[in-house]
Amino acid sequence: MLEFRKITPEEYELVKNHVNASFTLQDFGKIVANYEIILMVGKWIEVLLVSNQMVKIFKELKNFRNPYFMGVYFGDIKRNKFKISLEGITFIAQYIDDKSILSESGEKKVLYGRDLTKSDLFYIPKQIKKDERSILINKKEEVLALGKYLFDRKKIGTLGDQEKIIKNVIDKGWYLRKGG
Amino acid sequence: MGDQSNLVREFCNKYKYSPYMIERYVNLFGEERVKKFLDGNEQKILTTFKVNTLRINKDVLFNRLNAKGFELEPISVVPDAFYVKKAPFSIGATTEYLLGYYYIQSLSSMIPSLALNVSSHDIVVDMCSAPGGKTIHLAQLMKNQGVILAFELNRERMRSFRSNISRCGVQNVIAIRTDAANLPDLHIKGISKILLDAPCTGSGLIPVDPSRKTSRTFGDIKFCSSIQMKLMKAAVEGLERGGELVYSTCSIEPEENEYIINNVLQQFRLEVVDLDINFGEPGLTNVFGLELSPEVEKARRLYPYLHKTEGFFVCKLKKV
Repeated sequence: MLEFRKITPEEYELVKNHVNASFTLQDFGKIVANYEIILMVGKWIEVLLVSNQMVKIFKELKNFRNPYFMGVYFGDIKRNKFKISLEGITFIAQYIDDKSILSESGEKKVLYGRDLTKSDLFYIPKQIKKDERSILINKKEEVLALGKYLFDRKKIGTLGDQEKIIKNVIDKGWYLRKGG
Repeated sequence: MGDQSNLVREFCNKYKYSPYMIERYVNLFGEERVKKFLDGNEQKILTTFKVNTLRINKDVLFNRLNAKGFELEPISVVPDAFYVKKAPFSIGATTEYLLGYYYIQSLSSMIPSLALNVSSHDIVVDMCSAPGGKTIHLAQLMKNQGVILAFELNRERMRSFRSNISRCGVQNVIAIRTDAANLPDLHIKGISKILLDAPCTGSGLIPVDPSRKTSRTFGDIKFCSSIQMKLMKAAVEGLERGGELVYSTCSIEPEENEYIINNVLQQFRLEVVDLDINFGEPGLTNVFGLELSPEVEKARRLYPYLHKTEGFFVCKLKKV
């Protein structure tokens, strides 16, 4: 049975801290200011961004039936950890300066769900560290995926072109592979 | 009579339909027109797509797909939509598709959302929403504001609906997994617009799915018609006074279309509204020996042989 409720201050801090830390974002509150954050609690917790008008309708509706989903699916909270969604990275991408830029080969590979080698990257953020996540865009600045770096920036400089440096976390090829 | 049964037999052999369907179509269109209609169902229909203006400008997308070798032609009756005249590979396998810059949808299916004339402050109900093309179109016309209440009963179809609207960046949807016939029981106030693209026999889809020439029976038409009437009643009850409702099907059977409109006109205070779209043939008002309300003529029928799209029916009503 699904339960919909407002995010608690503790859960809000969890989401905010994750987003701020992962993407060097300064003002998470400002980005989501026009939305209410509603949690859909089932097997796990989905974090949804919902407009005020939608919340009003939702309140009328929930006396009779719960929605299946609503608004922007921003991510999940599982075992007290926040995991951002594809829609979530697309939503915040415009507020983030230092993104990784893929080459043409990288663009193709990432949309097939594959990990990336050094030669697949056109630009690597200067301060990136091992295990940090980075939004992966193409040269047209379109968000394609979220990746996790396997090495520090300094170490990447010493690696060969075919060395795998990014693990694909989520990518927009998902819509075709699994979305239906 | 003998001539007609010869004709039915001849067309059944030639076009491979169930005999009852040919008989109905001969009665519906007359001998001269039925051949054109059946020939039209044998023609390939061009793939069409609608640009997602929430994500990209039409001209930018045109240039990008053109550079990849897609030959596109604008659709005159629907803004921001194209025919795919030549495709070097599947139009559903581009980066632009994954980025939600467009969604593949038949031309006929673009008409109902357009006809509903929604605005950014409307509360809109999309009664049978999967796979989501019409909902995405509505969200664009509403500039991602207002609220769309999207109903879908089937879990798998709801999953694909969610994926499609997420891909296209739609933000104003509340999705409800239930039979849309339950709409009045949800007591939602202020519903100003309803789109009911009803489940149907899909006889208009024969050009893209020839198995429908034999896979549906007259019993299926009756069955669909009863579901359509149930949904239509729920729609009218859920709609606020002065609100508008667009009813559509991809069937060309009068029992699923004009009869439904005629029935609700008799049961509720409704009027048929002219569609602001210069496309399609008028609704039928004298069919299989039945005289229907002259208002039904304001509905629109689309045929493959005339309109180069799937067979379709669309009608707009206002609750008075």
